[in-house]
Amino acid sequence: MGRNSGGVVNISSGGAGSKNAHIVIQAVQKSRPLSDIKDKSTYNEIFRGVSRFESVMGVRERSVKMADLTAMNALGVTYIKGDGKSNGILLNSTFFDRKKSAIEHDVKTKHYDTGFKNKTNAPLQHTITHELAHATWNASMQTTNAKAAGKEITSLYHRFLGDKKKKGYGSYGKTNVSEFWAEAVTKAIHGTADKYTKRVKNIARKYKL
Amino acid sequence: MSKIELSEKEIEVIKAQLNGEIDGWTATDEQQKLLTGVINKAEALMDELNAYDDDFDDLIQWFWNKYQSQDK
Repeated sequence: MGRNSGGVVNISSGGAGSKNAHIVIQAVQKSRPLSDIKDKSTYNEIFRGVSRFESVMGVRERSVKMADLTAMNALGVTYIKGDGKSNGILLNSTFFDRKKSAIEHDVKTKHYDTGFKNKTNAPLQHTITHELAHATWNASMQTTNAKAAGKEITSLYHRFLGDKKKKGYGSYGKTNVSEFWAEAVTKAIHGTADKYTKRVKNIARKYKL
Repeated sequence: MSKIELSEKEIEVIKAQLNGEIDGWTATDEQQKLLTGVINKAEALMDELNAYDDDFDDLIQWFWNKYQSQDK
């Protein structure tokens, strides 16, 4: 695999041959700590999201920083290297360095009301949870555990696509297995439990992702 | 297999998605509608072909491959 997607960018080639990789490498160099976020309620909500992710998924905190990602039109990105392991998460400062109420309004009106994303009662936390989920596992990861987990996640993704009775999922999680994982993990943390949310939590713990 | 019909805009959004140019959070309203329409068509084709055991991890790529192979 090893391809780039909107949420996961491989920078192992030093940016050669990929516009997004070049943008991310530059963004990493200019990244800033989340403590630079002016609105403290936004900052606090992001950290509530990180803490909740850790407690539910049993996964350690990842490196999360802020940078301008306008050039690649992404809200956030997980950047990976050759083995596909996460080297960190960058959040787009043009989106996140704003008032919490403005961010939540955008998520609700532009992504929940359209049915594109899973609906949760914590829209801002949803955005960070989604990125943390990509960092925990994505289809580009090449470690032994990640590949073993990938087989189970892909099988689950196929069941998900064929399940006409599933509830509470937006359409974007159907596009590919990495987005399915990210949105199923989000539902596991912020939504109603179902067979998919239970499985993704079990897989994360079983393979120590 | 039923013939897959795609508009120019649907083809454009598929290529953008496969090139990693669409982020789930920054997709425009039009991109969301187009991509959702493509997903619906892909799911209908999966049902028709009973393709749930096919070896793929990307529904859009699977659907795009099916679209391209029908013209060969």
